Amino acid sequence: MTEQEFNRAAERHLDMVYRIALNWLKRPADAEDAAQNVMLRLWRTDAAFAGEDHLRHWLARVAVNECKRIACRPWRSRTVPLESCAEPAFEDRARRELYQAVMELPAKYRVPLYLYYYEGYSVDETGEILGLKPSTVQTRLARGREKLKAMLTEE
Amino acid sequence: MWQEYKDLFDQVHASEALRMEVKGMTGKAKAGGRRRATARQIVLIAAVIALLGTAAVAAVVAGPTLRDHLFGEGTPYDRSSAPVGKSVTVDGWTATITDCVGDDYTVYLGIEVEAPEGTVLDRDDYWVWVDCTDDNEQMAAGTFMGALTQLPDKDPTDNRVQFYYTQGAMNGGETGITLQFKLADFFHNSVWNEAKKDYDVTSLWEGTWDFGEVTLNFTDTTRRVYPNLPLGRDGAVVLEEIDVSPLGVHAVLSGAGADEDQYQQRVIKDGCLLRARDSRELSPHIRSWAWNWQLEKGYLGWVYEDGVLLDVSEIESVTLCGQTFLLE
Repeated sequence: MTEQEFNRAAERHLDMVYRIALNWLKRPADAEDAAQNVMLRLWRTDAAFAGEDHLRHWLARVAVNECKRIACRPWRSRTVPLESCAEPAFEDRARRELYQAVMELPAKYRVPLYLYYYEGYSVDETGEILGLKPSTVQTRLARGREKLKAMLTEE
Repeated sequence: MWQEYKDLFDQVHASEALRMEVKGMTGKAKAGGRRRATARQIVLIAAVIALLGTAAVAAVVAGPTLRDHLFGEGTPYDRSSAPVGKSVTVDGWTATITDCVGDDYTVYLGIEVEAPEGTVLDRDDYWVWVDCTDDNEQMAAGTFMGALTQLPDKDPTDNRVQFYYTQGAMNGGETGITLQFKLADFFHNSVWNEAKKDYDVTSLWEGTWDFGEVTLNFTDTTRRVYPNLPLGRDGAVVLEEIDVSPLGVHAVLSGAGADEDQYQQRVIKDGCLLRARDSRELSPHIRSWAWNWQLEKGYLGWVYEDGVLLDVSEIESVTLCGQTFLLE
């Protein structure tokens, strides 16, 4: 990958990588760590990509794997007072409440919802990225939708 | 709602600091070298070193079965394991899941059974039935097979024996694996009964230890490379990923037809070689192959012998299909 190709990829897909990580890990600091590691892998990989879709899919898969690795780190369960990355800020109150509701969902629902509804991956593609059967993805999408609706209705 | 959801994430972006960091990556060497730790990470690492000391002391008190009876003490266990510490007592018989080790393909559980006070457990052929299913949403078709294996008993005069349980799994979960876990009955094989074509077993206790839901939060220390190496002339089948974990090496193949023998043979033909930083060579033995029909991908697994945990931080490269891939 040339420098130009990498910069173009970063410009186009860094937000996707960061958002996947944020949906998985919830904490912006962890999400930034994950996104940084993913982009470094991209810069260092010798993999040839068949096109933009292939590259995007590759980045999503690697992002998921990186999140799994970071999520299992033993120190994640401990609170360490560090300078942290800011949570996303929304001027609109309804948007803030929606973000909070989304982030209160278990990660196993958040991530498929994001890949399906925001990134536009199909059920099969979402399953392939996450290593899940399509039926599992459908179940998680359905349950995620129900929980989110229930949370938003309660408020 | 979904339009609002999309509008929401339209406003979520990576920070400017991260963008600058990523831009600066092109100034780094493409291969080799380590990512420079940020100031935040250096403070985090220092905190971890202090906290891991505490965790090790706690593990000694709890008597983790996998560490004490199978893998031994040391860095690979410390880095790859997690305590479980879930006990169930029925009729004075207590079963405890003490600790776990795993990767995306295999899990090990350490289990201790304690009989009522005064019962001596001094045999080496005890058995316990295992009923284990994962969270159904995580299971990939046809990959669960497990066995409970008794471990050498360090004190045959007491009322406790240790086992390990292992199973293969395709882990699609985000944080660990969730199992529905039950153990039942405690007996030992005695005499082969030719007429029944079965063993006459001696049952010491009949009942069920139902652990309910057990979550295994072992640390994932797997190191991954993404060769994206076409395996056939048409490039439809690809060696997509190689995972090097403390328990083994797995090559992930994808693409229609990847389950064909020709591609598997291509991958396993020259074996798998791991080279450590000190130039030691390790050649694990191939032991497993699994295929997920719905995802059209499978893996070929080289695993180490039971009781071996690799320190993956010492591994520099993995050689498969005649090519050597550096682990970052």
